[in-house]
Amino acid sequence: MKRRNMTLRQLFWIISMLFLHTLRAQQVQFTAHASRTEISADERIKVDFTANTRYDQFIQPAFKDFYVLSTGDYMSTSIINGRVSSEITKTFILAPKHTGILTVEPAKILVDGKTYSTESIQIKVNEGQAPPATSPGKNGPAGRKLQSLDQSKDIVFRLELTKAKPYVNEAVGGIYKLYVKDGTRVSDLQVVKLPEYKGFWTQSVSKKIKRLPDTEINGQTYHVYDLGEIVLFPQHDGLLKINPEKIQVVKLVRKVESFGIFREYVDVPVTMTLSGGSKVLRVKPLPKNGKPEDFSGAVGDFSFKAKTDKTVLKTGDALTFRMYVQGTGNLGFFDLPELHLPEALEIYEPETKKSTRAGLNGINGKIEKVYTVIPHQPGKYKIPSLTFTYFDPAKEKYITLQTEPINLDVTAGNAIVSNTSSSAPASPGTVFRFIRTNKPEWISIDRKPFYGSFRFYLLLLLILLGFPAIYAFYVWRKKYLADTDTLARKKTEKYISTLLSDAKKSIGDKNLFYGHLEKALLSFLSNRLRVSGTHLKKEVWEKKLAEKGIPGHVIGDLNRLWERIEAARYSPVDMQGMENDFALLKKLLKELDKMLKK
Amino acid sequence: MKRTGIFILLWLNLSGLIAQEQRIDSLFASANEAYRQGNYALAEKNYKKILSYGYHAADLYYNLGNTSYKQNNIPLAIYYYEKALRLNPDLKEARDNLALVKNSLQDKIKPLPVSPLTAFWHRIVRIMSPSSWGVTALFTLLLSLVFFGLYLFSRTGGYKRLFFILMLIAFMVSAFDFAAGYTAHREQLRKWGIVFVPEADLYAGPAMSSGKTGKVHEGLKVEITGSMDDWYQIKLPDGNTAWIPRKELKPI
Repeated sequence: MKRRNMTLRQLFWIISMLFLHTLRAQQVQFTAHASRTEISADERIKVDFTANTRYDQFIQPAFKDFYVLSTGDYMSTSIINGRVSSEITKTFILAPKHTGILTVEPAKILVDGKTYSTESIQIKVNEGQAPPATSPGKNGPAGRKLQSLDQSKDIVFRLELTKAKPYVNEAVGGIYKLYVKDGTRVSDLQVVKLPEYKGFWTQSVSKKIKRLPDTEINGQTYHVYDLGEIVLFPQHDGLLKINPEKIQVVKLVRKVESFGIFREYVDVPVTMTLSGGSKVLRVKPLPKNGKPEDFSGAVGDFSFKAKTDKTVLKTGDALTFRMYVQGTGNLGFFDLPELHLPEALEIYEPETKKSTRAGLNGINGKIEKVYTVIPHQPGKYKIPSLTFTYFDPAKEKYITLQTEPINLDVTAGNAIVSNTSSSAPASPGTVFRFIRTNKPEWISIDRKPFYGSFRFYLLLLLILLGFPAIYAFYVWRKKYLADTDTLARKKTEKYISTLLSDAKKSIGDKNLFYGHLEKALLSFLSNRLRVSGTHLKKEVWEKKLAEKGIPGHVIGDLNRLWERIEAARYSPVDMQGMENDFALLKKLLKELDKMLKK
Repeated sequence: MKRTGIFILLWLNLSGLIAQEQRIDSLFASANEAYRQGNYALAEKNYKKILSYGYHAADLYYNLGNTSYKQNNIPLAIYYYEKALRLNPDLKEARDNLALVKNSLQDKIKPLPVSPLTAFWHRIVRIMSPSSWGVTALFTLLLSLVFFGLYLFSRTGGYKRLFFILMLIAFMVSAFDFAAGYTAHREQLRKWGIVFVPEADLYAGPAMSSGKTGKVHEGLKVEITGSMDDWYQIKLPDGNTAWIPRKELKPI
């Protein structure tokens, strides 16, 4: 599309260059022409300075008696009776400063170092009349704007915009209008230069040529044509310049040709190039105050909705989720919010569907984002609420729209989720378990946990104290027992020594002597072996003494002594025998005492 | 005279307690029936009435979790399941349903890796509540004391050896129970919270001006490590810390 137009433009330039080249060789003609020579004070005139060749410099007249209202450049190529001619015209729209005979001074051009000059033109300015009234409002703002339109021109081409101070991204409509004065004949309309909309997103609204109602300006009727409509979205703030397209029209000029006495009216086609006139838009930035974080650049007036095709489904089933923005504005130049779902819900790449139509007030329609979602785990899910923010240039504020969250109920489907056999128990997280109905053990909410409580530490301390306590008791008891032991021994030793001294005195008295010996021996053994006298038998002490590691010969001596003591009651014993037995007992007691202490 | 008065007072108190227990049991049963019939709102109301009487139980919180889930309140369901698991860390149903409900959470924050040994230890600790561990520990310690006494006072070598070994075993079991109880107790002292708004911003400090550091979504369980004015300091499952407005988090 663009490429083709480029070549068209290039073609045009190549052709015009060719013409200019051939014209160079011709004689330079530089003329001035005023649209009228007699005007009233409130009227304007158009003065054209036309050269038939390219020039290096143009020196405009001083225009001492006039106000310069506007200027323009035109280039036209005409083919008259097979002869090709090309002209460069500088046009000035002038308003007189005062009445009287006024002069338009000559203009000069420089061609190849030579100066060419036009004649000066005399203009007669009469007293002003009341201008013919154009009823205001009849033709709307466009008509009123046209009051400044150059009336001297019979064909006017211009780009009219719906807004002069839009916000960034706010839609600005533009209509290319052609005004043709009643009676002027035009044919062959052609776009010769594409417009430049630098800093804008554009969208063509219509390319058809439409006839609009006629409009009347200063008593002159103009036919109005809509040559095309566009919508523009400024991309940044500041002053943005639009270079509108240029068109070429062929105007049929009626000329009188005379052949001798014959006169003939001939329509001469004159090709004109018209520019829509450059426009400057003052683009306002979007307010920073209250700009939400999620603002993605949408400007206009929109609604935002989200829905799913179902809310109850089985695992493995597909679900369609769609969100859409509907309205008018820079639809299609911003992103819709992203959908984020839990991992158990698989999201496929969304599909974007557009059904929009460009209009002068923006792009109108609906943009939809469609997601396919497949749940893999049963459960209840919530599709979270989504937010969409746009700037409303009419209300001059940001508006945030929010969708309702959608609850999904996913049950376990019979789709093959895993290879495990159906008899296997469900793994945790796949089956929702029923409530527990057995009577629970009720706990008071105020009850403090036992671990770490005062009672807990008290019990712990008490039990730990039990260890040293038991040990202390053990030690005390052992000492006590030992004490009572030494006491008993001392008593016994005293008793034995009494017995022994008694026995020594009674040597010779057999019964008394052996009675003392028996008592002394038995009380010694009873005390040392911790056996009460009644239980003390020969077998008992034999065993106990052996256990305590007393050598056999000592025990043998003891037993022999014991036999003698027993036998002595019934058999005679001499003095020597008694002396020996006494000595033996003393020796045995001494030995045993020593051995048992170990 | 005086004694009979005290006795009557005690008896009245006791009978009142028994009546209370019966009322709670019947409330629980009627709530269970309402749940079975699908009247989840009524079930929730009756379960909550039991709480208002000042009693709770792991099963009660578990059932409340189920009613919340059936009514599509996912963060509340998670809150109740976590409460149930706090009272009875080994309640399998609560574990299962919590895992199911967590499927629908938006945030899947990877938790910090735990060594297998720690995980194993925590699995053992979970078997009993900290109080049960404490009672067991004290009992075995007492047993160890008894064996110590028997060891000291027994005369013959064979018994002495037996009781010494028994004492050591009881002591080691007790030490193990204390350790498990301590871990369980420490776990219970940790404060947790559930994110209760659909989307919550996290901040670097306890002020809006401190700057946002991230975002979490409802139902996420985070640890509360501190608080200041209207803010909680939290620790995310991945170990990062942040601050969150108090009203956006419900402490368990």
